Amino acid sequence: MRAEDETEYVEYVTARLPVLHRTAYLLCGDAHRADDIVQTTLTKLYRHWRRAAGADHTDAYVRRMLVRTYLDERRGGWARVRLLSEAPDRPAARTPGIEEREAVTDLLAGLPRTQRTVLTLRFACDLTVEEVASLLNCSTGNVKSHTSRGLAALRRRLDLDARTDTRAGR
Amino acid sequence: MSWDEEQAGQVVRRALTLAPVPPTGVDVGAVLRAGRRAERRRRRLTVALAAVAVLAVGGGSAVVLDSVHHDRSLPVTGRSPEVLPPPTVVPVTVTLSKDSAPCVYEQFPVPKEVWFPTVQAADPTGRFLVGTAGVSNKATDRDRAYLVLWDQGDPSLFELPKAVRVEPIAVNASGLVVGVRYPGNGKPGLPWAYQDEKLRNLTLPSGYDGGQSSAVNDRGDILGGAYDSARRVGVPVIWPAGNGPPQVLGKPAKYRMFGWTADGTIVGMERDPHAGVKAEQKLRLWRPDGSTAVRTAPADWAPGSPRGEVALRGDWVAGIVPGATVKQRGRPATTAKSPPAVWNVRTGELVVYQGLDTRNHYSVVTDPQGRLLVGVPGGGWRMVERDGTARPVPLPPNAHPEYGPQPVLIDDLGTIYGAVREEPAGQNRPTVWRCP
Repeated sequence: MRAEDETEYVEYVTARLPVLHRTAYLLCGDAHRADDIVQTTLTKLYRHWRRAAGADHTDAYVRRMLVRTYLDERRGGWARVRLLSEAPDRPAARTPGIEEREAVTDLLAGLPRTQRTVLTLRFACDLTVEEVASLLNCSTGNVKSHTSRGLAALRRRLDLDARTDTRAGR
Repeated sequence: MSWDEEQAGQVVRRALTLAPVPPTGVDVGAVLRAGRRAERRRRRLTVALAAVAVLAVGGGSAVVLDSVHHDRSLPVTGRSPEVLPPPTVVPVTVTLSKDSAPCVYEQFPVPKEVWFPTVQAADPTGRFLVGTAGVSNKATDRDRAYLVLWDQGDPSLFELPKAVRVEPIAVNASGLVVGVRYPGNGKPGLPWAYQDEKLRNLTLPSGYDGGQSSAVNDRGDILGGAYDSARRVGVPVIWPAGNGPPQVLGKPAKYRMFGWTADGTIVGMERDPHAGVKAEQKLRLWRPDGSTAVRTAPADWAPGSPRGEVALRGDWVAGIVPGATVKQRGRPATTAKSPPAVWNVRTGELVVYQGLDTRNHYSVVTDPQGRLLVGVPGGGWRMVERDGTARPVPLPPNAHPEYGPQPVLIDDLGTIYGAVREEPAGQNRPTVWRCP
């Protein structure tokens, strides 16, 4: 890769790392796995940077790579090496907010992977049904179906009945 | 009982937006090295010739980034440059104070239609803050990049031309913004200037296909460099105020331009383009009287700031003493301490603040007196006085522990300009800390 390309790549990755990590975390629900997914995605992106940078929508291109990496990762096991910014033996701080994090993790944790993926892409990444269908290589009907089932599964956990009732003015 | 999927979706959307996400452990430098290794492996499988080419890219991320940033060039003078004495290292032991720095922060509004704006530069008087932001068009699913200019706290937007990245680098007290944009497809960056809702490309000297602006002074002169991507060398360039033609300062080499000192001396760093990445670096001074000077740069010091550019304030340049990478099981895993250090380009004094570890992040901003603002990853930011007393900078209660704040400049009165990344939404908010 040329130095100019590499500069672009580093700048892009530095700017987008929090967003990519957030998406990966919501997809998989585990911070370390999210790091793995992001790391693998960004390593692939290095190889394909010129194509990604030349795409009409670089963010969408990279998001597609991230989701494909997430969907593919279970096939390959978890023997990958994490590239952390510090030594891995650093103790993970258990902050006061960890219960909240776990609650959010639990929110999606029990869902089948496809439903979780669809809900994350639809509602965390704000993608349309058509965009999600394109990303997952499935029909829009499939996406709608998984969305509906996922929301139904969350119905009790999020107290959606009460919330939607309230919003409806009831 | 009603069951409205649309509204349920809104509830889920809000819940996911507000979901706290642990900080990432991914290190960009490590990813870059992994990318290079992957690229090397791929090429080895294809042709041996390509593998030879890949070897040229080997080494640490800092090395490659360094080579990019140093693509500037030598001065042309009739006289030989004055050779100044080598730098003197002044170690200062940091005393950590539990008391916060006496700073009061104020946050500026963000236009509601933008998301995740950056704050990348401020003028030394603090009137202007400048950054970029994406504005999404949901109908077309296209993000367009906008320049965001806060004038005394009031934001305005200006749509930028299509490019992979557009970076404002500096702004002066008149609101003249200078920066660089990367058109993509491997083409080098191009310098630009913006003022009063007009953006113009800066003319490159003949024979150069890229460039970057690095600083702008009160008069409106723009300092930067032009780059020849074929020869991989550059020249320092001044674009005079009033849109005059570019003036090349010297012969092609590798340069990194810093800016002007208080007395108008132009400062940059130079490296022999043919001596490899380990070549000795030299400080170059172009004085207002036409004379030049050169001083050997500290071998174990690297200039830089959180935004990647080099902020010269007064006679001081902020930087760090990078810690050595230690390999564990063949992989770079940990680093030794990497303290912040500021270099006085006039006296040669290099002040190294022992006791703080930037973990090799260029998280250092200096003010004109050499006082430092130092980011300790995961530990917030410390204001470090010249005597080594370090006090935490107070943060808004929702500041992200790892990414906020993001200072870009300390003015002559000690006011800090920058941004804070807020939890849980991840939104960046322009913030000013007034520290009497």
